[in-house]
Amino acid sequence: MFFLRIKEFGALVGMAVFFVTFSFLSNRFATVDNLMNTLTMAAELGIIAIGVCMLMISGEFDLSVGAVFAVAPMVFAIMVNHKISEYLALLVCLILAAAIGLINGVVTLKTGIPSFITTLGMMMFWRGILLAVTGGFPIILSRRMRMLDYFGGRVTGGLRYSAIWFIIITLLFWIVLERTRYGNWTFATGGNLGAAKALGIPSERVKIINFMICSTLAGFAGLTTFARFKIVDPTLGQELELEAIASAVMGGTLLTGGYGSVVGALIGAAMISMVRNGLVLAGAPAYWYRAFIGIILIVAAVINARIRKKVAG
Amino acid sequence: MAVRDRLVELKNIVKVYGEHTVLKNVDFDLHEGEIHCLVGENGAGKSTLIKILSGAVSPESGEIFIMGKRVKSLTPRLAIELGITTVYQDAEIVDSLTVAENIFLGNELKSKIPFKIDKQKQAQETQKILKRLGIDLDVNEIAGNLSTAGKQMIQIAKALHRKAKVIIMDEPTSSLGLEETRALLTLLKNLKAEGLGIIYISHYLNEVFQIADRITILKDGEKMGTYLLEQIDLNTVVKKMVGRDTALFFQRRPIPIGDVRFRVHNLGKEGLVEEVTFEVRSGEIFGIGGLVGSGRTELVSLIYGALRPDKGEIFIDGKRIAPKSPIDAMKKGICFVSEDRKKYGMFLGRNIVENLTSVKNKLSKGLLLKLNEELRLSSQTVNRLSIAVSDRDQLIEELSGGNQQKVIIGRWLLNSNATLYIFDEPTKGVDIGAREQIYQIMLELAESGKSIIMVSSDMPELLSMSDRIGVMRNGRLTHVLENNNLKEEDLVRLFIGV
Repeated sequence: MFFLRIKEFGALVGMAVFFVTFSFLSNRFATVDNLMNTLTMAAELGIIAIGVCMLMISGEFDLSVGAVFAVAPMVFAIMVNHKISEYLALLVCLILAAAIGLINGVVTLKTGIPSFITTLGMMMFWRGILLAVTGGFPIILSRRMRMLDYFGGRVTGGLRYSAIWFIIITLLFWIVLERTRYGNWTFATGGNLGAAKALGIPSERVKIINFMICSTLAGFAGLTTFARFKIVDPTLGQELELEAIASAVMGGTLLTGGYGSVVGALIGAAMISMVRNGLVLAGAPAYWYRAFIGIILIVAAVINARIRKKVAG
Repeated sequence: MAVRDRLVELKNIVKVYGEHTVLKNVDFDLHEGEIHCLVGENGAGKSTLIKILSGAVSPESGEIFIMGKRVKSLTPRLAIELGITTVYQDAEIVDSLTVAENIFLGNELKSKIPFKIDKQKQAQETQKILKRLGIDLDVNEIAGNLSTAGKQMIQIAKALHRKAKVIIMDEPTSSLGLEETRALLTLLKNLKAEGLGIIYISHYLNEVFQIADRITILKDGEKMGTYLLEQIDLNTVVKKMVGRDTALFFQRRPIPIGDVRFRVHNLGKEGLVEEVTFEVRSGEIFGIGGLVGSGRTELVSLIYGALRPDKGEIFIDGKRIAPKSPIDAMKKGICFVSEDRKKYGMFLGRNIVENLTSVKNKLSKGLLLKLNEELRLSSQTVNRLSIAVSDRDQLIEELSGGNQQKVIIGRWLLNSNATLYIFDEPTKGVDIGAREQIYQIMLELAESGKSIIMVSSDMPELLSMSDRIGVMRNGRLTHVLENNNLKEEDLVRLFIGV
């Protein structure tokens, strides 16, 4: 059946199920305002998940995205508080994020250790730096600036700019994956490394670039959060790395590489956000949501595996 | 025949793996518009020869000429650039991309928009190539959904797209059906007509005689000759593939044979093994021969519980057993020595004692290991099998192939209540000295009343050790022969079915 071949099929069905369920449970759920709100809440996680998804398709991992998510706004806040231009600060913190990705990639590929280890180390390192530099206290932005409104400010109602960035970034990377040579190379690198190398695809470079994309997007996502709260806590974004991987997997991306979709990752992130929001509206204690996500993740992975098996015969 | 350009020439190629010389001064060449077939038994050196030509393996000595130019160090990349493509069964296909994307992978067509691929044009071009080849495939199909034959076709199409001059195919039809095989052979003839050179390796001599222009025969790493198709017939080819020196045959002592202890009836598994029936008596060595891929290893995996049969029954001493897993098979009295020591035999990084005692046996009962007992039994086994070790802490990978194999076999001797021992290629990668010792161990087992199944590709081994020989072909046990005055060539004929 052709629709089973759609990589995001499982995730779409899952989202539809939750949508209907929560609509029944609460009449405040299926309102435009609440849905805008849900999308906004999904954006920060979702932007990270896009990068994580790209990297996973090329066959690698990044556990340091949660730390980068906090490091980028911290660097931004410190620079701006020291009267440095916000545009320069923005540039510096995005370059830093990209550089962290570069180091992740180069260390992983040149030494041959698994990216799981490299990025786990990187995560611990930057968390440590965050705590050391801030002394454990949050950093508060000392002046107002218009630029930040374009990252996390309100557009209308519950909709914020971060949601719009989220959509744009998803579309951009969807095109990259599905319509460009680089996308083909990413699939080939993760799907059959031997073949990719034999055909002269620069697999190492592809992976390193994906590490950089992943890290840069994490930094960017951190900035959108910061633009909303104007405060950066050294524990900001803890466990986001795992939720990002969960989003990608729910959206059909394989942990083993070679298969996946950034649109799926978007749906995965939206699903997590929807469950969080829906449970609150349905009157369940907010803490339950994690338990729920855990179950959804496993069920989603099983269903996706079944679908794939059915398609491949 | 008109004078044609020589695409490839190999001169005096020598290749050594460990203690084995797998190619001994082999010459080979290929002309434009020619199908040159390589034939020989399992392990004759065919695959090694083409690995050298595709750059995957470099020879110890010898010269390689491609399009008349000497190439000193050939890498896979360089081989492709020079126009030599090897078609593997499905190694070079990315399952998540479409047919067209696979063909253009690494060589994509760009559109006017920067970075964007022109998918439409790629699909059109692919359509053209496929049409020219007479291949009926949807260019937008995901490659993962294709059959093996389909994937092979894509690789051939890709080779043509990359302007390959030489196409190498190693056993391309071993997993194809009749129709698919016919289609492939027709395709190869068309390619030849377009001027390509094709090197074709197959066990199926019928195919070879359908398409070959020339045939080169290898035996144990030596070239037995290159012949034009008209100069040679099937019988001569078979004779040249075998016919070894008597010195290679082991002289075993006769052992009295007792009652039937092991029996399988109509054992089968869809697509792998079809309704096999045979029996093995106590003290008997039952040899199983056949080509690679004929279902020999699958058959013994069914007996050993590594694969679950769809149908059929297995009996030990008249009692029906149905091994659900290897551990279950062991409990019921079946021991198995795999052909792949590295993957299914050794625990790398562990010492000899640990490797010897790792089988579940009487030692493994209780909460803690009985280290002294392990040590005692291990040194007993080491002495009994004369395993050459310098000290007992030596890791298994430090031993020679022969001694590794003895450790693996020794492991099973600790399991004394077994009825049936299965040896899959017992002397693969083992030097001559250790080989005779392994034969002695097998004979001792037979003398103590055990039954033995021995799968072997080594013709002298099969003929000198077996009491009876079963022939596997295409998943069937086609013949069971008493081993008196059997000749190599008789067996080979049965293996390939001519």
